[in-house]
Order: sequence, then C-alpha cells, then structure tokens
Amino acid sequence: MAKLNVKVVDSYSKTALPYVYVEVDGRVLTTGLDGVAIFDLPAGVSYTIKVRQALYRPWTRTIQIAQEVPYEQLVELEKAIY
Amino acid sequence: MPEESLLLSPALFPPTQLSYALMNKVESLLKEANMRFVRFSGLLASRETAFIHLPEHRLFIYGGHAKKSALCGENVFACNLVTVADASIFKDQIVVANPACESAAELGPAIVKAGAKAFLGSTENMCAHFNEAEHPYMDDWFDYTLTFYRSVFNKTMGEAVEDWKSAITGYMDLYKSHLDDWPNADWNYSAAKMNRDNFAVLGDPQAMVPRTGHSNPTTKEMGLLEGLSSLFNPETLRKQWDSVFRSLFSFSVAGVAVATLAVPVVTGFAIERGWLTKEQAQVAKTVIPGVAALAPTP
Repeated sequence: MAKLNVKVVDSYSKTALPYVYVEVDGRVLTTGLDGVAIFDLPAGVSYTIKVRQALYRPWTRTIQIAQEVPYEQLVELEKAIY
Repeated sequence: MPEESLLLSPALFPPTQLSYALMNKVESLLKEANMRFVRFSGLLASRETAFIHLPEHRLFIYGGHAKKSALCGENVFACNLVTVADASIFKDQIVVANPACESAAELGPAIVKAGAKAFLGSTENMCAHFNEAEHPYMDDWFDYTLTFYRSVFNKTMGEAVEDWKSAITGYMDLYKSHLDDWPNADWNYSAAKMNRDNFAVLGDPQAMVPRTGHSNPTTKEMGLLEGLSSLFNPETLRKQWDSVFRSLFSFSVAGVAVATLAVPVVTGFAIERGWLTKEQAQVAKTVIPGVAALAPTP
C-alpha cells in the first residue's frame, strides 16, 4: 500500500484548512486541524482526487500512484465567495 | 444634476477580480441603457471616495466582498464601505449588491427600514464560478448574473430577480445532467443553488429604476488617477467647501458669542486686580464694550 498525504491550504493566506472534504475514487476523508487527510492506497493505479469546500473553488486532479512509497499532494484552494 | 447610478467594484482580494470583470459588462449595459453613471474601482471603491457621490444617486450597484452588517469595499479588513449605521443615506434609492455575501441579512433590512425603495442581495454567501477543463462555468456565471442586470434596468426588481433565478435554474439543470462526466459539476451545482435560493428583494418588488431619459448619456469611468483628480475637481471642492463653510460658520457664531461675554469679564477682572496700568485700563474701557460697566471706577 502507498500513503497519500493530501494537505489543503488557503491559497492566499497559506493557512491549513481543517474539515475539508477530500475524496479519492470514492474513499472519503475530511482534513484534520492540520489540513491533512491521509489515504492508504494500492500502488500501480491512477486516482482522481476531489477536494471540496463550499467557500472555495473546487479542486480536482488525477494522479498516478506508481510505487508503495509516501506521496504528498499540496492543494491550494482559491476563495470562491464574496 | 444627480447621476442615475453609482457603480462600485473592488478588484484586489480574490475573487473580486471576477466581479470587477463582471462590472465591466454591467457598465456596458448601463451605457446601452443610456444611463448616467459614476464608477469607482479598485482602491477607489472606498468609503472616503464613495460617500462624496453616494447621496446623489438613484441606483447603487455594488459587486465585491460584504458581510451581514456591511459592504466591505476594497478594504476588506475594515469592511466599512457602507455599514448599518449609514443606512439612511440610501433614502429613496434602489440598492443592488450582486455579487456580495450576506448583505441582505442585516444591512439590507436596515437600508429598507431607513427609506430605500428596495434592496437586492443575498442572505447567505454568494459564489463565483471558475472555468475548468471540462466546462466554462465562469462564462455561465457571467451569463446568468448579466441576465439579472439586463432585467434590473428595464423591469421591476421582483421581475429581475425572477429572471435571474430562472437563468440559474437552467444552468443547474445542465450541471445536474453532467454530474458523472464533468468532475466539478457537483460543486458548481451547489454554488449556483446557493446563489439562487438566498437572493431576495427587500422592500418594494415593484420598484423600478427611475429614468431621466438622456439622449446623450454621460459616463464617468474612474481609474485611479481620474478618481483622485475627481476628489479635487471644482464640483467636489465646492461640496467640500460647503461642508467646511457650514462648520466654520457654526464655530464662528459660537466663538463670537463666547468672546462677547468672556473678553469684558476677563478684562474687568484684570483691571480690578490691578494687572493693567491706568492707561491700559482706560483704553480697554473705551474700546471693549461692557468693560466700563464691569470694571471698578478708581
């Protein structure tokens, strides 16, 4: 298994965003107070990550988890509300 | 002559770059509708500059950050472009805050209570949309919001809001039908729904923007330099002088009243205590009215 650490921050202030919905191909977690959600995933597959928070622009990317090593994914969310 | 519209569009803090671009299009609509307007953008979308023009408009349009009790303007930290305490300045006006978060929660009711014809805004957050690889959601946002503004200048406020809600519903249906193949359709559906469901007309839904029917509309688009120069143009200076003159006049009246009473009393007191020479006392009694009556006769 590979570890995927998804760290979510505000793109403007760079502060960590807690309680953000992170989905990786149907597996759902919310970020902790440090803005991080950690997934254990089988290697050798590509995954689509969706990060959702009502106040921020949606973030969706597909990444390749090639080997059983830790992967870091930084997500900088852009404010979407007035 | 009063301008018909005052347009304020902050542009620095995300996502006000988008509302600024939207207001460029609203400005075009104002021109097409032959309406006179003044626009302040970026740093000039501030309390200081706006308040010079605020009382003289019939329609006030704002697109930018806001909170329940205030429209922020460019200074989102102070967030005091217009606050609940300023509500009475909009008497008999129509106020439109779109896009702007939560303005209809506290500020809008206060403005209507203070005599505005109508306030159009949202009780909740308002979202921008962003273009993504699979679909140009931002273009949709421009389209549905401009549907609202196209109607605002020609229909009643209630009809404009209905047109806006219909347009959003059309896009929501589109996003719903693509939830499986557009990766960001889910968020955009929710955002559009939030924009639609929480937007309301406070006050008179039958209110319409009054038109004076100018054949040659005059427009004032203010960039930073033009805006700064507007602070020092003859008309602005005249207004400021009026205020200063009123203040000076009040101070003068008060000052003269105090001096009329205080100078003879103080001079008489000084003569009584022997702080003035005989010659000085004589001059004071002759020149200053009232001193002769107050000062002791040697």
